[in-house]
Amino acid sequence: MSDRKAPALDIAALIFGENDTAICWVQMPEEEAKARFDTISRDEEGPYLADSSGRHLRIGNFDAAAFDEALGSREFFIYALDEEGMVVDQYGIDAVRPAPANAYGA
Amino acid sequence: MQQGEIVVGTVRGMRNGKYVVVRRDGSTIDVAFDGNASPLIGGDVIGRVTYGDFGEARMTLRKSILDVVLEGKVQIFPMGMRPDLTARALAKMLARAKSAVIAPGAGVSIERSPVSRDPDLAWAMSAFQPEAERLSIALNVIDVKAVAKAQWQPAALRDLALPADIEGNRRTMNDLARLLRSGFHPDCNRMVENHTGNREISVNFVLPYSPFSGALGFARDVARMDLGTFPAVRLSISESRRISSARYVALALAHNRLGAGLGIQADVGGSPRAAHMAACFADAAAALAFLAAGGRREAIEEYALLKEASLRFGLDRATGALREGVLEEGTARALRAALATVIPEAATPKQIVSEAAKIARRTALPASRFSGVQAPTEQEAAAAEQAALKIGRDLRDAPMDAVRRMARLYRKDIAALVYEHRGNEAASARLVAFGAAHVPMRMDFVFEEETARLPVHADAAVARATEVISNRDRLARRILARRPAEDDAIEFGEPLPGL
Repeated sequence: MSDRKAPALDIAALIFGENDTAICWVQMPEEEAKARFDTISRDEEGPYLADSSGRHLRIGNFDAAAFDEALGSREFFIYALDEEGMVVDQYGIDAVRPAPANAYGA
Repeated sequence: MQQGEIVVGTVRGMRNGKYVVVRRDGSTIDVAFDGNASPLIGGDVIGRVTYGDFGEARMTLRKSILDVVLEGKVQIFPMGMRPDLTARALAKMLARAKSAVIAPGAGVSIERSPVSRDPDLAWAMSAFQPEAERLSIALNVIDVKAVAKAQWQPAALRDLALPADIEGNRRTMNDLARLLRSGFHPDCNRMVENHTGNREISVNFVLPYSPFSGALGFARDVARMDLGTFPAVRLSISESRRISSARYVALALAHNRLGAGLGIQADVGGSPRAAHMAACFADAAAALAFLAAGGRREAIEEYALLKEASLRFGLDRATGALREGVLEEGTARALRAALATVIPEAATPKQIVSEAAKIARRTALPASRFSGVQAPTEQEAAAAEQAALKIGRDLRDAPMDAVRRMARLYRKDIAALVYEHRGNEAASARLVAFGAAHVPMRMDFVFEEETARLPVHADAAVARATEVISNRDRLARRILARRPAEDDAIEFGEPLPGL
């Protein structure tokens, strides 16, 4: 896993919905917001955003208890916030990857 | 797949008249789309899946995950090194969302739910929620019962107030803290935002009723009675909470409903007369909604009597002038007009709100009454005197038999509150602290007997609150000084001090 030398990201809020859904608002620099990370995971050092190629960014500030509950079984959607608190990108929404062509037997 | 589960995926084609949606994990689901919008093949879709009578999956397209998530109950954990940014993002999110009840959750979290578990609050919200949505007003109503039980400290209050605090300053939090520390005095807290030269008004939060007042405390507050007067009302606690909740929820609609024209907001906090007009509207709307829902007519008649009597009990005998805010809240004429209005039981929220706006414009006192010394006219003073005789009993010189009879009514009221709060230490402690502010003269023994069995809880916030309410003048100032000052409006985007 190639750790990038970037400042740690700051989680602005976690929003847990019904049906095991969670939204994570992450404040990040604009260039990182465009990078479109797919998922959020956690290891012994804490949570990080990752994409399918293994690239990841550490999250600097997190609530361990909230993450333990959230990362268990919830489906995460990551919103990137800019420095004004505006949502600049919504991973998992406009970044839904086209599914494999044979996904439904086509 | 469960009923109500959120689906995020891409439409890959059609099969048997249904859209084939491939989810992020590669699984597929065949769905029919409700509503006017249908997806394009290859487009990304978001929605909540439901199943019809024959097991067919159905979805309605939504713009974002957030829209779907906010349709249900959510738990929000504000975090981050920049709480002002979190506040702004949450405020923007909630301003676009539909009305909801907000309560403190576990830890520092906030629970937001579209429906309240409190039956009185749920009724009041259902009475006006459709109209709030039509007027694009997001009502963030605070679940006072949950707050009463919560271990709130200033930091926790900040988190509770944050979603409403788009202003980026501390006024909302300070307002909420003051209201909670003054015994959960009900309020509708608005903000005025100066944005590109326009003044935009929106509602920060609604504190619908005080869970520690009971029916008698509510009546005393409405009529401005002191502790030496006993309110002779038959209102139940539930009725008083419904009237109070409906009033403050309706008050949150006032700025949009009382404007000079379509899309023009009324600055209802801008002048005493505008505040009076809003109060007339809110009380008329609450009365009409209460009656349309089959509520007791006598309850509204008592409420109108209490309002009439407020011009007698709210009079400063030394100066002959009404105390601050009494004339603004003198809405008896609007309540009488609401009682005279024939409103069908199946009246829609829109009909109720429209009728209330007409009543407010017809019955509100003229602006000239609010300039200079505010005092009742001779006719109003005579009516207030009559109302005060009907609805208030003087405890100072009452014979002991009469005091005992009234004490039985008070015991019933306070016993119901004790029963409600006895299961939670924090709520019990707050009942002892704040309920003490409503103990009628010569009835301290009733309050002490009824609250003696409540668990004792050492809460620093309650200890501070007890200190505040032990100073009655200071408590009164806290309650009265709840109108935002004009200079609280700030320019949009102004940085927070100290950042």
